[in-house]
Amino acid sequence: MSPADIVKRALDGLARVSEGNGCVLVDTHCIYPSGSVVVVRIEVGERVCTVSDNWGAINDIGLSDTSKLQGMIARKASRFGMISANGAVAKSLPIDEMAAGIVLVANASKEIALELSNAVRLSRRDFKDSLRRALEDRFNGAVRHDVSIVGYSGKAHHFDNVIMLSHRQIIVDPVSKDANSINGRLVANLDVQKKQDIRVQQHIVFDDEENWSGPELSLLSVGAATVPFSKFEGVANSIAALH
Amino acid sequence: MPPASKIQTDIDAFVGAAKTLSGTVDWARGYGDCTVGTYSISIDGAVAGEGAKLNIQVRALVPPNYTIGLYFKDRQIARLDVGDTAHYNQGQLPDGLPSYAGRDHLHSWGLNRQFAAPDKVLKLHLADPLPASIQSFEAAFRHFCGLHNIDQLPTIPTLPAKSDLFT
Repeated sequence: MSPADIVKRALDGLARVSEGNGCVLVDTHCIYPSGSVVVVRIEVGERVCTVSDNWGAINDIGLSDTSKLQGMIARKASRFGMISANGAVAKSLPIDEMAAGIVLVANASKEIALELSNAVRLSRRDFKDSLRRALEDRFNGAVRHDVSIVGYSGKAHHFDNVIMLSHRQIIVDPVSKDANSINGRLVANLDVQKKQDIRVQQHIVFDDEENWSGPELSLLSVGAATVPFSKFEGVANSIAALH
Repeated sequence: MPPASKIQTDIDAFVGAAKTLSGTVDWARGYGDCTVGTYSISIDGAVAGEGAKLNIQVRALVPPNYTIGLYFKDRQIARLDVGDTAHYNQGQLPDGLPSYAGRDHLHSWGLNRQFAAPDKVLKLHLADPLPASIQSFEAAFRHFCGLHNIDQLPTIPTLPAKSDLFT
């Protein structure tokens, strides 16, 4: 057997063709971002065939509720010159262009799945809002929001939450995992820290549902005592003891 | 190895908890020619929140095609596929995991845990080929449930008869 025969034989196993319900299913050489093979579904008419992705892109996202994705898929499908009905990506074309249709639909479906998986963001808790509500529940009227505190430089810095105790101000400053938030909170806390006002206590609270790196957390700790949100209750107990 | 993120530990806790399937499965039309049955999941006798469910998708093909998926926090966290779609494992693979997982394969949570992120869908990139000993839906269902601590099954569901599938 020649090398070409060996390669041909290996490729024969890749593109399985099987019959479905009034359609033909073909494994293509494309794979979705998850690694699943793109299977196209072909409905063959007398002169025209319809090639679709058999709902492969929408299934590849792995979302519990995919109903909201249908509109997004339809918009993306039109960019590839395809139509989309009920979440499937499809193209109708003359039978003698079927092979091209298989290649085009498979690649469009793969691209759409990739774009969707990058675009879809699952709702996550709003940890700043959760922190604000937790503080209000715990410290009631002692919590003030959007409080300005003047730092060593003379610049006024805004803090989301400050607990006003009789002789102390406790800053509870939430930070998000992005460079702007980290830099902004770091500068504000450092400037206030440099004033060395013993009546002011500072805490930076970070959302530990996010993947923070060691260096990022080390950097935050330069500005103030850092506290993961899931452990904030312990700190709140210490603050309450001062109350 | 990086420390576990909150989403990973949340899903670990869900997968690790002893779970039961609630009620009986109701079959409904899914995408295209798919028939879908869904169970809710209980932990300690209470229905688990956060979108916890197990669903079975069946296609009226010969031999039968089906997937069994476990969901939590709006994402699919594990899936078993039989017959329908071949799977390739990409990237740096753990020892012993083949590049080609075949048409009958299992995307377990343990194998895909590393891909969980707080606000992203979970891509089940890695799959093990199903053991050759698993030939029936019942065996596949028991295997999937056992691996993800879904115990005390009221009854093993049976796939709908072909005539009852949506086509």
